[in-house]
Formats: sequence, structure tokens, C-alpha cells
Amino acid sequence: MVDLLAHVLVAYTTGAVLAWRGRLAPAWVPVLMVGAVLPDLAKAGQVVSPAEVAALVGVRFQWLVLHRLGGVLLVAGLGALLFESGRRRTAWLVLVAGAVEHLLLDVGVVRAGGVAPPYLYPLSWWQPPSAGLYLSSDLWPLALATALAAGAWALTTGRVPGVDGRPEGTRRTGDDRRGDGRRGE
Amino acid sequence: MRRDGAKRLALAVVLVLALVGLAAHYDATRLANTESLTTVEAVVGPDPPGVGDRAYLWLTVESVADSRLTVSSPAGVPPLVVDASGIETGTVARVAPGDVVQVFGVVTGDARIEATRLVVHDRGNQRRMYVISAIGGLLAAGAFLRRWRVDWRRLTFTSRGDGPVDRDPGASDGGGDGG
Repeated sequence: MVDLLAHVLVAYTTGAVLAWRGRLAPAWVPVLMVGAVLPDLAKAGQVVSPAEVAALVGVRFQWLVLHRLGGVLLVAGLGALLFESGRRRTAWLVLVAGAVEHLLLDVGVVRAGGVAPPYLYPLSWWQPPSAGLYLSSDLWPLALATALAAGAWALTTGRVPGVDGRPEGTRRTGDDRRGDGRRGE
Repeated sequence: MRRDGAKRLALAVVLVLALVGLAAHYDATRLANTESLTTVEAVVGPDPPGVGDRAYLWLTVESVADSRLTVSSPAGVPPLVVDASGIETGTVARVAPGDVVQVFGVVTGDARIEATRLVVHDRGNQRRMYVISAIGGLLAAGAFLRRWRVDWRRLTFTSRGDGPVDRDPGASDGGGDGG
């Protein structure tokens, strides 16, 4: 996988642009970023081994399931329960979207075996061919993700000349409030 | 509110049980469903594979001698040896103790793999990746807590209310400009 910062920055870029286009409320952008972190909870296996967890729960255990679609859906469900009742469905969808973006980026990692892990488990054991674009420790994907995030930040905070950085719905509100007669244009 | 708390608790228990069940199923069935052995335990554990089985492993190198890499194994299992004589010498020469390597190859005997492909992750780069990843986690947590706060009474995350998630974007913000 790419380093976690690159995943988080790509999620920020996606969320910020969607919010700017009025497709996602800005408050959900950081939830998308948190969703991008979820698959890497599988790294807990480097601290607590699967054997230790298995001894605790009494059945076999594999942390890697957190880095698969099924694990992501369940962990996002647990995360969504931490939100207010009217927002849990949206929270779940946004967390899942961030995590799926993470898995899609991981298909690009160079793998000696030539195939990526079965990310669609438990729906399928299919292993997509690895795109072989970057090593997990390469710096250039992080540089690219940082540049994209900086561009999205500039675009959505009004720092690009001639571009209104406010989300689409808010832009109309501003015109309405000024009463400058442009409503309906 | 109490009813919602009980409902959330029940759902959380169901989700955790489902997660444990899924993790158990994944561990029990992946060997039969994936193309390669993917853990050291699967290669050198109590139920060793047959000669010729394919393996794809991420390993931490303990020592390098000629074209043989000895890699760290979990406690209680014998050390795994990777024969990299079939790999380009320049690639093998880059490997140093502490590096992480991706090895794709075939099992040639007890605790031995003959590598047909090798990808080297320099130890320094790995360490840097962990630091950068920690920054990523902190960035996500910081961005989240900037927009959301914990409602300790309800034990939920609540929007801080400075975005349209809490109000109609077209509505007045109550600042007296509605007249």
C-alpha cells in the first residue's frame, strides 16, 4: 500500500472537490479521510499477532480481513454507530467510500507476485493484477498526492483567482443575500 | 436516548461478532482460494506445503550470505531461507539485514524457497514510511475533530455546526439579515 498520508490526502482531495461541487457537505470531508485510514487498521497485526487474538477469542483470526471489502464494511458500520442516529447511514457510506478509495490505490503497488490481494473478499477471491506503479515506500506518490491536495485546498478556499471557492449551494446563497438580481441566471 | 444506546450496543456486538467470524473464515479458507502461500507460518508451520507450491511473502531480512537470505520468522517456527541465486545479482546485492523484501517463488524443501522475483524495500525507506503514515493518521484525526466534537452525554460525534451538514445552505444564519 501507499503510505497512509498519501491515502488521507487523496481522500481529502476527493472530498474537497465533491464538497465544492455541492455533492458532499463539507463536514463529511474529514469523515472520508478517516475512512481512508480504516483498511490500515490491519497493521494492528504488527503489534498484536493473529495468534494472540486467536488465543483470546477462541477461533482463528487474521487481521488482513480488515484490509478487505467485508472487513471495511463492518468496521465502517462500527464507526457509523458513533454518529447521531440521523447521520449513521451517511457516515457509513462516506467511511466506506474513503476505505474503497484506499483499496483502489493499493492495486497500484508493485507486487512480486504480480497480483493484488483478494480485496473483494468475501464477495470474491479474485486477485486483480497489480498495476505495479509504485513501491509502498516510494516518495513520489506522496508528492503527487500532496500537490493534488494543495490544489484542491486552493480551489476550494478561494485562493485561485477568478474561481469562487465556496460550495455550489453556498454560492447561490451569497447571491441571494446580496439581492443583486442574478437569481435564476 | 436509552433505547438508542441499547440499539447501538446490540448492533456493535453483532458487528464485532461478524468481524471475528469473517476473520476466522478468511484465515481458514484463504490457502485454498488464493494462488500462493502468503504467510511464513504457511511455509514453515506445522502443516508444511509440498515442494513446488508457490509462495508470495513479505519478509524482513535477518542475514545475507552469498545469494541466501535468512528472514525473521515468528517465534516457535524454524527460520525461513530464501535462495535468491536465480535473481539478478544487482538486486540481491542491494539487500541488507533489516530490509523488507517481497519474495515470489516456489517451495523447494523444508523452510526453503527459491525466489523467482524479488522486490527490495530499503530499511530506511520503511522507517520513513511508518513516520509519514503516523502523520497521515494524525492529519485525519485532527481534521475530523475540527469538524466534529464528542457529545459525551449521548456518546456520539456531533457536527460543530459550522457547515451545511447542520443547516440548509440557503437558510439565514440568524444574524439579522433576514429582514
